[in-house]
Amino acid sequence: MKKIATLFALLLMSLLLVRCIDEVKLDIDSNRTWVNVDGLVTDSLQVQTIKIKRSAVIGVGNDNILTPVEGCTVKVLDDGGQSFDFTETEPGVYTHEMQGVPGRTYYMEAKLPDGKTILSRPSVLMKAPPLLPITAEVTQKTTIGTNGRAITTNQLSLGMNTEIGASERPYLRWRATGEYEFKEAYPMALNTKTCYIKNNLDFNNIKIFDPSELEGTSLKDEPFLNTAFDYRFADQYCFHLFQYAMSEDEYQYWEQMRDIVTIDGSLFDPPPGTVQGNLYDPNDPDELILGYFSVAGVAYSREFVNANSLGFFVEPRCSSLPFRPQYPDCRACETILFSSLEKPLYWP
Amino acid sequence: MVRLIFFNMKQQFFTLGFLLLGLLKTFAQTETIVVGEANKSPSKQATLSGRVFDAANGEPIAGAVLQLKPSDNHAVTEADGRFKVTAAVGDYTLEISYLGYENSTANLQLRGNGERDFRLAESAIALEQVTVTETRNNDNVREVLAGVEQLSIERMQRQAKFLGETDVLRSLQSVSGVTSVGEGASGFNVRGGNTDENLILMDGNLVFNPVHALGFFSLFHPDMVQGVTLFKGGVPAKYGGRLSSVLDVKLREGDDQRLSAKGGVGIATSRLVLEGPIVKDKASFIVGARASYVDWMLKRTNNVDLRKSQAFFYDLTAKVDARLTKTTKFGFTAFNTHDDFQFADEVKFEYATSSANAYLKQLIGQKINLTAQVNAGEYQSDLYDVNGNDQSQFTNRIRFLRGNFGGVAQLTKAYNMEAGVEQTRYRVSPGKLAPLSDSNVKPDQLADQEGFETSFYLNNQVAFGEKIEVMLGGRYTIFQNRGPEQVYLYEPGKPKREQTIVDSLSFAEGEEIASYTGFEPRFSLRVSTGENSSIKAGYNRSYQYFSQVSNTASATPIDIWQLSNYHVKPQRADNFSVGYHHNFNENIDQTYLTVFYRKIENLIDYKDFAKLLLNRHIETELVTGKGKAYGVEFYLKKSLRQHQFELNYTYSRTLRQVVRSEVQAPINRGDWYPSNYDKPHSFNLNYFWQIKPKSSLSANFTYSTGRPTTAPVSSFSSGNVLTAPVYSERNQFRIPDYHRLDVAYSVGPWGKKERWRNSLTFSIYNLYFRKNAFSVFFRQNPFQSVTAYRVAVLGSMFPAVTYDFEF
Repeated sequence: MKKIATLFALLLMSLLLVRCIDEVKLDIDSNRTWVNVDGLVTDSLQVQTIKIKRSAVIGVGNDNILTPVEGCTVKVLDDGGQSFDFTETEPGVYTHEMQGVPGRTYYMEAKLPDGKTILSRPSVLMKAPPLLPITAEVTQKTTIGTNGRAITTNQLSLGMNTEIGASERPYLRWRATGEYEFKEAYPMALNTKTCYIKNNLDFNNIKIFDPSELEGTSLKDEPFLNTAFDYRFADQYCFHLFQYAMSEDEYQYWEQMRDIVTIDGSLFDPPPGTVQGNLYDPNDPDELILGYFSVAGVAYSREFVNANSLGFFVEPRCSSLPFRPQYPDCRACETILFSSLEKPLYWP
Repeated sequence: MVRLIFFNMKQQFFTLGFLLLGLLKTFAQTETIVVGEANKSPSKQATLSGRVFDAANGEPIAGAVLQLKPSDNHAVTEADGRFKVTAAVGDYTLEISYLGYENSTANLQLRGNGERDFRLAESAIALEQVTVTETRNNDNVREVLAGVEQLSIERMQRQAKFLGETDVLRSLQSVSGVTSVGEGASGFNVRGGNTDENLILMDGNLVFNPVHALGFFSLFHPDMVQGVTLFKGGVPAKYGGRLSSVLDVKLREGDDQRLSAKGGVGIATSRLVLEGPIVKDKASFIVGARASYVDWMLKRTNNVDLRKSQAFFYDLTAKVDARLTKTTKFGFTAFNTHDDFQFADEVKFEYATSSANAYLKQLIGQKINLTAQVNAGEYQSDLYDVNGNDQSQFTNRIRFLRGNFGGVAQLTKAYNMEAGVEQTRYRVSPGKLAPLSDSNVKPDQLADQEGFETSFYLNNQVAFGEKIEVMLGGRYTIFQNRGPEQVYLYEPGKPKREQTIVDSLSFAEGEEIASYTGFEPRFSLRVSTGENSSIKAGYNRSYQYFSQVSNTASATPIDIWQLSNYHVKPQRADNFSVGYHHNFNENIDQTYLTVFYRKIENLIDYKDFAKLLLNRHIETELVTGKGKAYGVEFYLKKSLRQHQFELNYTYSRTLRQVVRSEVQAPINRGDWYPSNYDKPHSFNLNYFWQIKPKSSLSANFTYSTGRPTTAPVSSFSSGNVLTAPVYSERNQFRIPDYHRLDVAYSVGPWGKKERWRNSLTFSIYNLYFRKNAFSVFFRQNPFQSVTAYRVAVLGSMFPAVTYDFEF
């Protein structure tokens, strides 16, 4: 009886609820590209970067390869009359060491080799509230495998904590990168090495916060990041956390960016649109300039997490025991992407 | 079961001969009817008796006058349509006149006593010519309005059934100019219009969402539907409030003679209808129920996702009709529907409609028929977030109360007039958010909105001989948006954004916020070019004060409805159409060609990334533009013995334009762009084969151009988003074309009449496993190329078997 019920139910649900999603070829013929500016100026004294490229044509080679726009004249100006000239350090990458001042208004001006001028709308640099220690929690996530059975894995969930204050509450955006310790091990090993591997955690993961959603002044345990709780946490894992204070205009930009990268074909998906940032060509206001020139205060925090501190045991990837699985990188950890043998100064 | 026609053997013989001889022309064309046999009626007097029914909805017609000219003998039909007229045996001219119908005559050879029932074709505007029909007629040619489609339940039953059920909306999509986004879409699109631009009525009840189960079933109980009329071109003045079309679904009356039941059992749903007399010959009831039982099976599966899912719907429909006197009739129809869907922990939504309509019809003399009608109802939809810390319930609701008082008067043989007044009060609760359990969600609720739509209408229909007929009328509407409400004012000359709000106005309960008036002329002309051909032209204007605001790929049950208000002006459409109709082969075969053009002003569209839910400033997310639609529709019906083919092809375009102004940015730089429902080519072929008297095969093939979509044409990076798509201008590409073949084989009914009668239907939906795209979306993961994915709601063939019974 159970089998019959399952058969009928699967049949009906395949009809009524379960969507069938597969790849399809569309006849899209367009070679058009647009100027793409990706810039950030913060109140941290550091090398600030503005990248100017042309967008990639879809369906021709690698869609991710953007063409650098070389030979541009790029500068950032503030309302105090200061001008910061950026120099091209790599093709299409313009840098300048500077520190933005909270309360000041900044905008970018770029002159392209073809004579086109690109301006950003002026934006006030707001001070970012300080980051408080993150909340780390290990949870179980259940997914349905291809055989229809439940698969449970451990996940590390990070929650952001910050004190926003009662006045001048900026919109927030969070970024995170990671770094972990990787110790080589294999049977009969004599000289094992320890590598420090940079770990990109938030590709396409846009985390923003509208302060009007907050009652009070403290933001606690705001869900921020989920990542597999695996061998990376067997020893030390370092989270580099950034909290940016941004304008409402920029918040809306990231909200729209989040919309277009999370479309998954559900019945309730909004139709996609063009994300327009704060950049424009004064001589052709209808021309689309992609990207955003961000002016943001930043708060930085570094947090170390390991399985032991969370009361868990995580099996390391590498083992000196002969009956355990052996991986090539356990003998040559420097071959791992973004790996370094140099121990960071801040590493405990 | 209502027995419509009672013939004695001779009459049957006569009727057979009548059919064989192809004398299937209209009564209006002076047919000869023979009643009784002289040698069986020794008396010099003979009586003709029978009943008169409305051919469109099967309702008995009260007050129709039958005259045997040149004598003074005549009869008036009673409330149940019965008549009896006695006259000396002889030859007469039988004339039937009824309010709203053109007088028509036939040669009657009264040889003896006999019974004869007549089915009168219902006029689209109730002021149509009388056409007494036995089986087939040339109504389609004689009808003054262009673009009117009448679907009888018999016609719908000839089409292949989905899950064994005859379905009104699915059948409707075989009509020229009617399309749907596809499986999973709510509603239907007429001549490229939005789904909300169709006025949907079921026995006078206003329907906002006509579907169950994400559009797989319509909410009209198939065993209760008598017939369906779709006005997609010319719209009579008594209808208003929508731009594209009017769908009028008539339910049949219960049997006033005996108790009977009818139903069906399928693999996903079952249905039952019970009907019978309340007072024999006077009052009847009919009650129908339908429910799905997928839930029961879901709970018994091993699959975790399926066990957490729900798929349930039901509907209950009840109707009572009573002939209070010979000239007074009362009716009441009510229905309640509910849908409950959840898939695993992903999405859950519910929606429900309740509505009741009561009417009173009074015949005054033989010239005036008055009708008073009251309809009240509610539509509510709920969307649930069932996952994580944000569990919540979002609700929106529409309540309405409608009153209508009108009448038709037959002033002369060639001139009819219809007039009336209608008022609808809408009370809209556009959004309420409530947390569920220990959710972090903050409760929120938008203020109710209220609108009053008052209309006065007048229709005149004049025939200039047999060849020319004109319908000329109009509808004048006053719409008021009333408080309590807070209206935001924006900086003049600047786009409406939250940041440009400069002030707000508060309106008290009942205080007028905004008011709009509009005159809607309605005109139709028919010029007969032959006995079975005509040219028709029509023009009508409509205003729509209550529109659905949606920015999803298709209309969904949770889309909100927006009243015209301080910022949102009513939409206006002007519809033009010209058509040529021609029947062949004694009206058995029919064809038409219609050209149409529609112009829309104050068209509402949305900005990119519009946030519509719980938005207190929804006007900041909307833009205003204009639209146009045009096209050609072709229809052909051909019968070859037991085989019948219906073919239609529509070429149509529907375009929009939103230009830059001080208060809004343009869409697609102000150029014309296709609407979401622009499908240039649409083709349907229905085939029906009556293999044997009790077995038939049907097949339906449908094809339409893929609807427009917005696709990525480039990619860029920004911050930690390595590759974000750059989308094209709105609706510049198309998803793959839609096509599908369904077949069904029916056998039955078998069993003794008056006892159990059974039938079986075997159907296969989507025979060749076509994965029709409901939508196409694009995903661009880091380090990967952009990929287009097709979402097919129904990705495979779906067989079904249904057992139907009647007793």
